[in-house]
Amino acid sequence: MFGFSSKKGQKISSLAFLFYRRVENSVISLLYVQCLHLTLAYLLLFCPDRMLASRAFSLIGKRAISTSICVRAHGHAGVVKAEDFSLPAYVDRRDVPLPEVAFVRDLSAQQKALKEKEKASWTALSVDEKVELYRIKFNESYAEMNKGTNEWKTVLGGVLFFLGLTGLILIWQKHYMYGPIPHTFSDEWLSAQTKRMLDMRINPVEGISAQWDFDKNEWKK
Amino acid sequence: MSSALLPKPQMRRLLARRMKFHLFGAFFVSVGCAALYKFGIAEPRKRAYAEFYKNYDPMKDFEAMRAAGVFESAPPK
Repeated sequence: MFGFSSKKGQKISSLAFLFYRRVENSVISLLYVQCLHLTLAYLLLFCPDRMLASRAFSLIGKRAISTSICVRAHGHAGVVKAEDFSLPAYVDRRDVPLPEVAFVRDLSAQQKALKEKEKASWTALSVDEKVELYRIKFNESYAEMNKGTNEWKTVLGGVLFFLGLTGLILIWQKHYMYGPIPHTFSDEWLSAQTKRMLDMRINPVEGISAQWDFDKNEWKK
Repeated sequence: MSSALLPKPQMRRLLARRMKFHLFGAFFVSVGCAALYKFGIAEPRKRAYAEFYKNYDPMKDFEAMRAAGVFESAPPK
């Protein structure tokens, strides 16, 4: 299909390219999906907690929000309604390059006219018309779909915040709640304890007795 | 979109390329970790034990410990 040398052939293949890119990107993402599915299976098998399962599944389907934003941005008339959950659905997934249905279900008059024009020769289509046809069939392009977010900053910030908060709680606990530590932590007891360990030659090869100079009676430099 | 053609993207051997990269990477990372452990931890430990036992006199060590008074059944002289 890509052996075209004529101008007419190249214009046809430019339309097909938009669709082929979706197939190309899906192969690698299938590997990730395999690992993800294995992890999910493991989680579901060994952690029958329902909350954990739903949290794990949210890894896959977290792009539901962007659908409505894109619809507003491109001014499409039709959006898949919630009650059609039993019918084949459109989905923006890296490993599903060509979803079962087109994104736009109810075409406006203008879009219907364009679909009629698509039945004729594709060389007659302008670039904007080709893009409009793509947007009728697909919601986000692969580039838009794979775009990263700044979510990691929120996650990291939340983690650090709660670590700090926990630290404050621990400080309060040590100051107001806990009693005194055992007498075996006093300096006198610890030095007597260390002296006894050295007398017994504890860990003489690589450990504490190896750090003590027995001839000079001091720690090795 | 411009009217000029985009350069043709890589269509084939995507998994092969990825697999080759990761096979090499995994091999060198694991060999590297093993080498780091061997020369960072295992060899110094072997040397430390060899050094310790080169001139080790157990009786002298015992007398020193007895003098310090750590033995119940062998009191200091």
